[in-house]
Amino acid sequence: MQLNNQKSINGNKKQGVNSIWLIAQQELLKSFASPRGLFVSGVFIIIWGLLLVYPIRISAAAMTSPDSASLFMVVLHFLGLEALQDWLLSEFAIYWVVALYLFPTFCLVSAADQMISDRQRGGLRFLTLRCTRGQLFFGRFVGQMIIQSILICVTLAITYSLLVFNNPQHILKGLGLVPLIFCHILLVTAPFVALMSLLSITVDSVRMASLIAFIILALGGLLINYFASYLQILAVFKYGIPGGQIYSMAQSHPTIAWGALTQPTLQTMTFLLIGYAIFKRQDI
Amino acid sequence: MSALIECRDLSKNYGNQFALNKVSFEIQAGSPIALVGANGAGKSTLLSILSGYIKPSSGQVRVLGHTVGSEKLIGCIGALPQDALFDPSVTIVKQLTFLAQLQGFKRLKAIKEAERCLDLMQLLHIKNDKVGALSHGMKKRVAIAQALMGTPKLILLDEPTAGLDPENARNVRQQISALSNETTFIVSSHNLAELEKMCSLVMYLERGELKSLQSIGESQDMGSVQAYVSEPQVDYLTLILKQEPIASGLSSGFSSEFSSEFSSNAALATKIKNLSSVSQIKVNTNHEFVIQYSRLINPTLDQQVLKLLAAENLEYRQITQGQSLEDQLFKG
Repeated sequence: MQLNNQKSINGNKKQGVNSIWLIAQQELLKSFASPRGLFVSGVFIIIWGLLLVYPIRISAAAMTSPDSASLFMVVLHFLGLEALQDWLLSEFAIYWVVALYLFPTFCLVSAADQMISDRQRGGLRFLTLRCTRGQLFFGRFVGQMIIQSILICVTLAITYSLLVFNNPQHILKGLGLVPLIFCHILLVTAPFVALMSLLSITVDSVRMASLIAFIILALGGLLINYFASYLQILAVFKYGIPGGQIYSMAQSHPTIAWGALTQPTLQTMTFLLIGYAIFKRQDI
Repeated sequence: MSALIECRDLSKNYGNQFALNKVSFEIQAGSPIALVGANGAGKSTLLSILSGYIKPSSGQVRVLGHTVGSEKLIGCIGALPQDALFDPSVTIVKQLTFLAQLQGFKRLKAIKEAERCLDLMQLLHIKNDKVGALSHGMKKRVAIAQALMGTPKLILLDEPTAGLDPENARNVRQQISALSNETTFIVSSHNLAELEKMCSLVMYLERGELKSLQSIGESQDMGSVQAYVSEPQVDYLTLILKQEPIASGLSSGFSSEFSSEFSSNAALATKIKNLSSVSQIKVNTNHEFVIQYSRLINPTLDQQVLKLLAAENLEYRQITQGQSLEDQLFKG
């Protein structure tokens, strides 16, 4: 009897993991096969193509060229990014800074519609008879994270190709840095995706969800600073705003930036738990 | 054995407005159940609570012995939600296959299951179309097909034939009847004639309250339902004549103040009322006579009525045991 119960529990767990994976796969299909998904991915690829062809290639060349290096360092110093001059692999140095800002910004648009359209259409009603709300909520988050992973991998691969093309002697050194940069960018992006998971179950329009996210990120820090000037303890809410650590990460190398990942990890968990708690009780 | 559905003091309110008010009932698995009531009576709210789409404000509801929303009910309940639409950017068969996979089918079996259910709804030929290309009726039939997938133990259909053409509405009714041996259906509809054909039990909601839960036409036989609202022990016979009785043949003993149609119908009614055990008779439009009697006292009343009709040289269109669902619910 006990063995049967254990088998049943294991079977349920297996089915639960399977459901999350199926929902994540469906999210991938939606993002890369639907017209909206294709449009967003297309825009993203064009932006990255332009960035790689112009700013990254030119900046990387400028960093290594003795003629323009001094001028470039002045620009970096002006932007507070002088630490980049310590990078041996200049293509990755520029990629690091651009990716730290661009991926989180991109996912505010691409990950905004995790639930909204389905909720408006009533499509969630077909799903919740066949999987738990938890599986649905976390499955869609996992799907979005896989989409971000694919995009990071593609852009990293192109940047690495550029590096090898420009400096074939760094082929192994660059390869060693790729997984490190991948993990950092993915973890930095995670709280933004989780924030969109939360907003997608509380807001009724995709545009509104993206707009609210931009407002939180742009004005949240300012408002908290303002209120904290009256009541110091309110400053603790700054830790709830995603991306607060990005500026300091941009100034350091991925090999020493691990410490900065605690905050996004905790933020991701918090947003997901709040989102799940709301979604579990929500009328659909 | 636990009941298929157990509801205890189930209430759902939106602000001060009660959509459901202390609804209690218990249903065992069995033949299809009709859910009727006026607009805003709480039918869709009740079905949504049973499907786990919305939470009750108070009270308890259990399906197959489990709390609604429990992981153990996954795949056990199928539903046709009101106004729910599929993703317009993905083909129908892909969406149904995905849902079948979520329900536990392996990919190839999921495709077969999706196709089987589309075939039941006579939609196999449009399986590779996207939902946006379909008519309202077709979309509804796709949604019914998804409800049938995996043969759940309980299927909740919210107005399944509303907006369907007569041929497809008939097909839906036939599928419900064919599948009712393995699945219990709860069908909400405003089409009482249709429900009468499909269902043997009826739940009647009025302003969020359960007014009755009884067998259709057979108020004494409550079947597997334990109703909280009971009916008195009476039987009915419904007679529909082909045409209006001729007044002259039936007018004897009847006051001349009645119009000819009324007097002819009323004269026949009087004659029927004189038969043994008939306690009351109601004449509706279209020459319909609803006869209230006791079958225990006179089990062959129907034969006596037929003899009376033969003696009066009257043709009839239909004679049925019991009364129509409409009369049953809205009598008086």
